[in-house]
Amino acid sequence: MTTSLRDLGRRLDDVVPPEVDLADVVRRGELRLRRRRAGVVAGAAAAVVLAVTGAAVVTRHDDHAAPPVVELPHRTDPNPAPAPAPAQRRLVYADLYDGRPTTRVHVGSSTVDMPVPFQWLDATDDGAVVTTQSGRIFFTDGGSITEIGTLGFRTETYRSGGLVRAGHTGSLVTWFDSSDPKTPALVVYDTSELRVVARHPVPRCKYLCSTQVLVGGRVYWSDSWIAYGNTDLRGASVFDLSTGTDSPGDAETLAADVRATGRGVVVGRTADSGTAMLSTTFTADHGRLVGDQGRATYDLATGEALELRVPDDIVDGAGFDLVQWLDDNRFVLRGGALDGYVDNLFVCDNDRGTCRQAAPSVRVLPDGYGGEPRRIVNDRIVNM
Amino acid sequence: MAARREQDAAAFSEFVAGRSGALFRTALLVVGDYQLAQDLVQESLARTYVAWPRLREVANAEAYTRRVIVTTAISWRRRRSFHERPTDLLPDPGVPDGTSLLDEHDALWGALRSLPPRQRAAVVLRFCEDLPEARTAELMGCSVGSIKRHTSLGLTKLRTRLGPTVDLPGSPPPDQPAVIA
Repeated sequence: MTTSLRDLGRRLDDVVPPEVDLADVVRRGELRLRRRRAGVVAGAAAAVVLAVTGAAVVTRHDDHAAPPVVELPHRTDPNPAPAPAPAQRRLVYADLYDGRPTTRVHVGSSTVDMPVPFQWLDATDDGAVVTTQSGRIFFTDGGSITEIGTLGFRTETYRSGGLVRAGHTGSLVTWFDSSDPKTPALVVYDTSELRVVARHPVPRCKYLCSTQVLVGGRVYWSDSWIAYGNTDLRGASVFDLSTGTDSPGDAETLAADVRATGRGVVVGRTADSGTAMLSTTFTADHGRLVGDQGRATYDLATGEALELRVPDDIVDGAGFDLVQWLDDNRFVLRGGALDGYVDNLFVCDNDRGTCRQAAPSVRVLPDGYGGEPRRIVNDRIVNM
Repeated sequence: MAARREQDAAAFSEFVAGRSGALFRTALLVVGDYQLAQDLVQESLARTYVAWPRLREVANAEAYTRRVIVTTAISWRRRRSFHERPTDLLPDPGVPDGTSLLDEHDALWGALRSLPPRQRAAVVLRFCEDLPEARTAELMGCSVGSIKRHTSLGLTKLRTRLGPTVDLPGSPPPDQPAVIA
């Protein structure tokens, strides 16, 4: 007997649908509306405060004891940003001139000025998470700004960043909160719900531990104060959000976790046998991207080899880092030049097989050096 | 203002009552799991509730909700690793969930569920829901070319897995008996 997809569809007509819980639908909807209104109202109130007190507000923001606040963003886009389609992340980046902290962050088509200069940047499905030198952590969805936590220490000595980690998909972001040295804790925060979803005490992290990678609901972290990212997972622990427990982690468990997310690349001989990774590097060769050291690179979602063309003006040998995933199909490359000091951003579309430039490197000469200020995208993502 | 709000509430309730069955069917096809489909419909309707003042027309609302269902379903495969953990012991199944009408051993249903999310969505929308390519692309938020690609990849995997027992679009016709003059 043969069946067909159409038959299958017809048979589903006989499946009795569950009753929709209308009260629950309305409750969830009202919760979303309240969040949205809270951002707008608090933003308007903060506008008045900022206009009157100016720099005093900024000074107060360097105070560790400040509670979470919602501040007025400066937006170049006068219209409210439409809700992003689910599962599609907006391009998030900031410009660090000569490595100095900045206040301006780009979230899709919106530009937001944060109340305090920041130096580190991460992206979630909902917007940008920035970390200041004083260790304060803010989230912006491209409209409102919310202070979501603190590292509990100043970050000047951690020039490589990587103290706050967001996943390459989803709304979770994680860091170690050492504000109370007696009870240091690994914090996991959900930027879609604007709340802490886990606070995992780790007493031995009194002198600072590092988060390394967040993938799915699993946080890789280490006792070391140096943030290695996923380049060195020796001795790593994995905090599993669903069970609330720690277990040992290594490169193999990370590869398995990446495969479970369905988003990433596979580097190796075949899509099945290669290593699943969140990020990799590419080089331009005759208008096409080739994988790191010539290795084949596959799209994890489809198992197909990546075949991407770059714009005509990209010279052979130009290097690229995969730094963000926008959805299952599109990712962001940083680079595009022979040296490492031009940080153009390119959005690559697997289906179309093309990469197009999304943001050019800033062309302003800094005093004394004659070089170009770098467009820093996201230290955490670069370290993936 | 209050009257307008009451009208909106009534219209939204009517929309949910009238269209949730059809929306659930789409959700079930794209996620392949009764409980997940139920959650997906609830969540998608909540988003529609938020957008209702600018949708209002039932046709607009249904199209919007269906698009949220499809795009969210595609992303849920990733989130499931957070919300759900595999286990050796199955929990008490409790009340039958309705999908028992589908033979548990139905090879086609099983094969569809094994496809990657975007391929599964493209295949079920095109061939179970009979939607044209342009409409499928609109629902999935991608180009028609992407739909062709995902559909082709998905059907190839289904053919490889199921062989000739299943009648799939683009498959060669089964052998015909020889005609004797």
